[in-house]
Amino acid sequence: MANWHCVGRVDAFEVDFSEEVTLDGQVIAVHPTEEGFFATSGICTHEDERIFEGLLDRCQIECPKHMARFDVRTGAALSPPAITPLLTYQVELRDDYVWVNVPVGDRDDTGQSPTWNS
Amino acid sequence: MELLIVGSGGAAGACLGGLLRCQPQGRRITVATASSLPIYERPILSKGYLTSDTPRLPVLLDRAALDDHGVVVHERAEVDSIDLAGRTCGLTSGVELRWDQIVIATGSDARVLPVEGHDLAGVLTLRGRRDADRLRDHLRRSTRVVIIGAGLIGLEVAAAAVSLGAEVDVVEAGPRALGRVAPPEIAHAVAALHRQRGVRIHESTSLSAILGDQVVKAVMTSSGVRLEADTVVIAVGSRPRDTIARRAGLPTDDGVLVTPALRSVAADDVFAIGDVARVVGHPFIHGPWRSESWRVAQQQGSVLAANLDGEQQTFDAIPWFWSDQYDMVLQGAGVPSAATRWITRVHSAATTICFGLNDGQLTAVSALGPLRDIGRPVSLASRAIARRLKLDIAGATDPTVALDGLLR
Ligand SMILES: Cc1cc2nc3c(=O)[nH]c(=O)nc-3n(C[C@H](O)[C@H](O)[C@H](O)COP(=O)(O)OP(=O)(O)OC[C@H]3O[C@@H](n4cnc5c(N)ncnc54)[C@H](O)[C@@H]3O)c2cc1C
Ligand code: FES
Repeated sequence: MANWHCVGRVDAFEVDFSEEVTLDGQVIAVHPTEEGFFATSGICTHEDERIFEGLLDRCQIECPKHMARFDVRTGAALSPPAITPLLTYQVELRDDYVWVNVPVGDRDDTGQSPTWNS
Repeated sequence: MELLIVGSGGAAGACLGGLLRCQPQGRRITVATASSLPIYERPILSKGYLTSDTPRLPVLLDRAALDDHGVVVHERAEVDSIDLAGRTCGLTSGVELRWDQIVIATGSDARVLPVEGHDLAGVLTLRGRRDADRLRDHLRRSTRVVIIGAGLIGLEVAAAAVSLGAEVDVVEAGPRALGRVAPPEIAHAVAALHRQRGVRIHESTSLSAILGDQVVKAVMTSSGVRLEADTVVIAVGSRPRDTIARRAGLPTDDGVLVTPALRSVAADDVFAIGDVARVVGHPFIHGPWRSESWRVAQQQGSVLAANLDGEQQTFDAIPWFWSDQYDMVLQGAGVPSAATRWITRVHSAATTICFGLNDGQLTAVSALGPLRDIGRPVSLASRAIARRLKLDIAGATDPTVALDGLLR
């Protein structure tokens, strides 16, 4: 079930600087990019580091701890040491505000499936 | 088509990971490795694995995943010969394997010191999981630990030992800790972290003998000091495991010489990746270059996987490594040896960032501090190195000037 949260004004974000929010107990990173806003899980799938402080560049976020890279649009793990993708969340801009959907119950896009082992 | 991968470390793991994503018809992959599976992340062995009560081995690929993809695995199987003309390779067990393409991913070995007493019980090195299990066990029973070598692994083990309650001495032959990997400013800051916790670092001191009677009791140093010890850890660097390549007649020079496409400089269907490979012609590194970094091993594995699948990639990434030192992180990128001058940015009491320059151009970065202070600057600097940025020195040394503006 959809469960939208407002995470702030659009102009409070700066392009290529991710921000972290906690919504319903889940740590989520919001990524303002040239292509628009995206949201992913805020925790690196490699060793649980918070990724929002990493470098965001052309829709890719680099985890500051061991430099794994993820595509913030799809969550895909692009470079080792991460193997597992990040969960992604829907984002909508409503008037001047950014909203993120943190669904309750089962997700239809079950992001977390290992790509190497499957 | 038979593809044989020798080794199952970080480089082989990343290569397999890439290959298994799209396995073409008609290619058979065999792995021959001296280790046992799973393929795991080695760096943890000198960190949390030693101190945690419930050590966990982060797995890259397990046996089931390889079996599912039809990969044939020979575990605990050491390759001792490669026949280039006959396209076979021999295991120490006598088994012979055929190949059309061979990937040498044999990594490196802990260097041993030929001093008196090196074979006493309680004298250990650290490379693989078995070594780490033994060391874990010893550290828990030890009250006096002496570590030979103040490199990254030696100091990580020192941190583990002191946090488990032992008294720790580190004996370093060079004039300072981390001589090979970090500029003096950062090395001093790391040494200070250790000294604050009671670790004694003896610089410009070498090991003369290890004393004991079957079991180690003490270490004698070149300055005539006797250091009592119930565990001695030799951490004096590593040597590439390139013997099989050398014996096969492949060009080697402290590592298997490869092109930036990771192919042997002399044989078309022979490749080398990871710690055992020495790359000739990396666009940012002058002269043949060999890494000892987890990330580089994995990047090379990924590049080679793409090339074996018909792409034409080259390994041109800026080298990057990290090390955990207590609650601080040390990260470095670029080519420290290319720097003729280092400048320092004191970000805060706990955080120092050094930039290595050559003729004004940024060639390396080295940083120590909490991850949140250094992660982003090192990422930015590493990209700036690739763009051959001329660094604004006044800005870079002024902590009030944002690095994003200078490096982006
Ligand atoms: C304790 C420790 C901590 C480290 N910490 C860090 C860190 O914090 N950050 C960092 O960047 N790097 C770190 N490193 C370095 C990093 O782990 C290595 O650079 C990396 O493992 C190299 O990968 P590789 O695949 O080339 O070699 P390895 O991982 O060494 O794998 C080599 C494989 O080849 C096999 N093999 C060797 N010879 C033969 C043979 N003749 N026949 C068959 N199989 C053979 C071995 O059994 C092994 O499976 C650390 C290394 C160690 C030992
Ligand atoms: S925790 Fe993110 S790459 Fe390791």
